[in-house]
Amino acid sequence: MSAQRPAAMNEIVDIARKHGLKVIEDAAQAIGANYRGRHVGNFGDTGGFSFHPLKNLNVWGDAGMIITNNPDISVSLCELRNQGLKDRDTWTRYGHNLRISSLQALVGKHLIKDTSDLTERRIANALNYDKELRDIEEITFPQRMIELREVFHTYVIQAERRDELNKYLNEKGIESKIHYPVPLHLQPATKYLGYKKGDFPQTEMQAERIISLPVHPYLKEREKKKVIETIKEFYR
Amino acid sequence: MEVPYVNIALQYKGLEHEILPVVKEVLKSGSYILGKELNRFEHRIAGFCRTRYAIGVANGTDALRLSLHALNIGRDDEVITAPNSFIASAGAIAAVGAKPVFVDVGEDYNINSELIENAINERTNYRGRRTGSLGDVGCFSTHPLKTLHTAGDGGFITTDSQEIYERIIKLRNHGLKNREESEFFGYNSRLDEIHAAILNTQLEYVEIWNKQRRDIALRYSSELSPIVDTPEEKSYEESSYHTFVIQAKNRDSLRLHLSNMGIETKIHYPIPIHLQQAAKYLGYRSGAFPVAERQSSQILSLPVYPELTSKQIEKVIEGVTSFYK
Ligand SMILES: Cc1ncc(COP(=O)(O)O)c(C=O)c1O
Repeated sequence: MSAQRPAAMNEIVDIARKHGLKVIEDAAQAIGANYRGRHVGNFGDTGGFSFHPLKNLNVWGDAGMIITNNPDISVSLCELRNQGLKDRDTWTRYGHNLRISSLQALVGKHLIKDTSDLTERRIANALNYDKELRDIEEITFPQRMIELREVFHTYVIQAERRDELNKYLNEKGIESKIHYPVPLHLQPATKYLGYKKGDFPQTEMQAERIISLPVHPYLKEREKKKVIETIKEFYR
Repeated sequence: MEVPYVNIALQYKGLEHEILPVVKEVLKSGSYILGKELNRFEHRIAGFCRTRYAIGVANGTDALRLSLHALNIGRDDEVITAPNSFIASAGAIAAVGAKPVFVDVGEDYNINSELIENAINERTNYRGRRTGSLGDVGCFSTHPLKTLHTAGDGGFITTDSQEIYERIIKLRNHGLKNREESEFFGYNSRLDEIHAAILNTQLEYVEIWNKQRRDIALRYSSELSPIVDTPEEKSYEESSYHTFVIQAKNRDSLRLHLSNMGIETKIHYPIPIHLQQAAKYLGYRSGAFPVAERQSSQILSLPVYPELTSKQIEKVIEGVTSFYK
């Protein structure tokens, strides 16, 4: 699942089932996203969401949630997040301390009612960028598809001379970011896995071209215009 | 309940006028993770515990897990711990892939240092040398039931080793050494700013609270030691009495008797870790740790917290005394 849009979940799940594999959906950034009307996180065995402060549904600290339609997995997860405890004195398995605090749950419960509205505003911002940037030759973005509801936690385009553009935008006071400049297989942490540059050409090519524009729901008209004007200016 | 075992809400009420404004400041700042409240808390804890470094993490279990990981303890290693502890002590060891090895406790409920050497073999030895050169770590929980606590899960690690410090700082944040580069796979185990702010407020009171707990504990000791087994303090110790644990004959009937009088008590813990279902694969049997097992059937934790009134304290003393009359 990318930051922007649901992956081809039906196909992925079909492959997994054929080989007797499980599917864990990383829907960390995708609350509200759906594929053919089905909310993400419902395709695999479990789906995980992040409520980090920067996410579309957030709390005021670190937190997350797992959804599942499988009652056995649900029971397991409830035990696992609470030290593997079934009740106060019975310990059935090794677990973790991974509880969401009441304080943050309360924040989430309060903010969830605004999520749809805020998401609509993100989508509107994104579609506006689509329309305004479509004619710039140096910029590309994925084709939007009717069966996908993308929630635009980030709005990512691919741009020529990306680093220069990023610098230019930042100089003009526009906070653009790269999510992420170094792919996982080229990180020091994965060195031991033996991957090398060139193993995943698409990923590597994109890592050099992607740039995320501000798309949050509180963007003002003036700010959106400035982003678009500045990009046009850069490629003029 | 006339005497609840804990009363965290009452403590909060006394501190509300201090806690709400700092929480509000954090929320207004928009910086909720790895910000300046945490930084301040870590500096103050390092001062308070007199260590060079302190690192805030998500909870006390993670403090253990990240410490073990930072000390390179994993598969094929054995880690010695006590069977009467909270299960997290062994759970964190299992979580990094190592094997918990239990050693029985002494009359003071702590691991019996005279028995430790018998449990050491090459696997522990190996680890021992490695960790020895790196220095030791201290793991703390700031769970709501602890003396220094926040309004949710929290914890921290203390160490004098710069090497361990730097490793744990990265481990708790995905192994990231900067925004872009991950040096090794890690965890998301950070102490939220809200919690750090609450802990900063509470830290002012810890010494007072510890003294208040001690006063209550000493009072219990002097009144109850003729009747039940009360904790003994060695001359060089000063216990903070997070719990006040007695050992009593007919513990379960005593507990019922107290409960009927409106006095809430707890048992920390009725089933030793080595007899839990989760530890079955380790192959320990009943009788393996006689002291811990005997204690688990006799121990009882009495209410001990600063908000207890004299009347409530007297009630507890009267409750225990009347049972043995
Ligand atoms: C001895 C011991 N170790 C570990 C923990 C785990 O701490 P936490 O609940 O913050 O994860 C606790 C407390 O719950 C404990 O008493």
